[in-house]
Amino acid sequence: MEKKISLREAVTLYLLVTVSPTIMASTNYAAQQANQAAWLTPLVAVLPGLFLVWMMNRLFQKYPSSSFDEMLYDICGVAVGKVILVLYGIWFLVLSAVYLRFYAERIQSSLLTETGIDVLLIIMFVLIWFSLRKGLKTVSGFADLTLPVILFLLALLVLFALPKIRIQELYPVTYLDAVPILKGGLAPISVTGYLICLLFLGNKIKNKSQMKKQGTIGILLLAGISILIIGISIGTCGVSVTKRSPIPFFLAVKQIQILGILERFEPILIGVWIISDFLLIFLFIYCFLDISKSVCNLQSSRILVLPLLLLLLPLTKIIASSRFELELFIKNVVGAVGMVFKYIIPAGVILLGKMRKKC
Amino acid sequence: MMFWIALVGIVGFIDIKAAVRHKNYKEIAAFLVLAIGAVLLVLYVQQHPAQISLAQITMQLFHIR
Repeated sequence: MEKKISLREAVTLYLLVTVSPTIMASTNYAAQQANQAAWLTPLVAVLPGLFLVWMMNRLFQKYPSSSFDEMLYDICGVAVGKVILVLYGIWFLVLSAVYLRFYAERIQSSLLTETGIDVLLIIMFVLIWFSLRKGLKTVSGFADLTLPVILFLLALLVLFALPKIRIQELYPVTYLDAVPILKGGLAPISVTGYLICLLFLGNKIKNKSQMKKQGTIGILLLAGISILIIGISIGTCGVSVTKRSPIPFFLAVKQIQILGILERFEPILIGVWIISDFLLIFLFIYCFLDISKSVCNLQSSRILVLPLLLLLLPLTKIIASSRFELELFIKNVVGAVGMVFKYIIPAGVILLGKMRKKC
Repeated sequence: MMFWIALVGIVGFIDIKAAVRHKNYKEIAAFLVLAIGAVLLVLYVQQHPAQISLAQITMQLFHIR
């Protein structure tokens, strides 16, 4: 029997997991949609985030010791539940491949330009394989230890970047920006939706009665971090550069200089990224394995770890032919499909549960 | 990639041995299905590098340019 983690540890894991997609996808997309008002877009994600917390709280109250698969079987029936779970499994597999590719491309373009993508992927696979063997408790403990350090490092980067910010890049914001802000909010909403992963870990989390409190804190903290990241990027680089650059926060951090002596702080950011990517990929693979175990009625999914990692290697390569294509894929397909899995299916399940008087 | 397959094969063999000892035949079947699929995909990607892109196929399916 695997050791259970506390809800606070689960929310910590969620917060760390969202750092990488926020830096990577939210900033660029928000700037393209909302221009100088992009730093307000994370506020749009708060309401859907709280709705998600409410849904999860309701499900956890009705099914205190179950994970999402058991809830699905009870509410939708075993056959429909399994179909939904298979779809979730495919989604987690694609997400794992997408983020693995992004991780490898990012390291290759920023640090190790001569290193092959295979080597970077295999290093991550070995790390994930060890973590999966150790279990969720160990990884969430690692996340619990790392979060204060990462928050401190991010705060340090924000503090150092403050003198470079040009306030005129962040203003004016008028009522005319309301619609662009709502449009730009889609990316933060998508990132916030990764909270759904905790639903799959339901049977491994204790004291879930605090879901409302802990979940709300998590959503608000994420919105705060996102506002800072987007604000710093736009304030430092300007709207036009932020729109065109794939990772504007990286550019903003590159510009940091203290007293003309200390510079090149980007390795700190890359370190934060790698930790966030590792936890993100671990979480997706963990959810996929849990789903496989449930769908195939296996006693343990441990045996599937290695073939799954073997499958992910070519999948990561064929997911897209170039980085440009990968970014288009994330923006046009993964984001939209993600909304269905993160918000619409759980809402549908709650609605069906209410109709069948099970929720 | 072949190094990775070999590594997975060696460590996977230990897992399989344990599963056989505990008579978990369902797990062995799931392992074999996933492993064979993965090896076939690895070989395909090696034979035809940069010919398929899931992103492109999906975007064409949804008529996204």
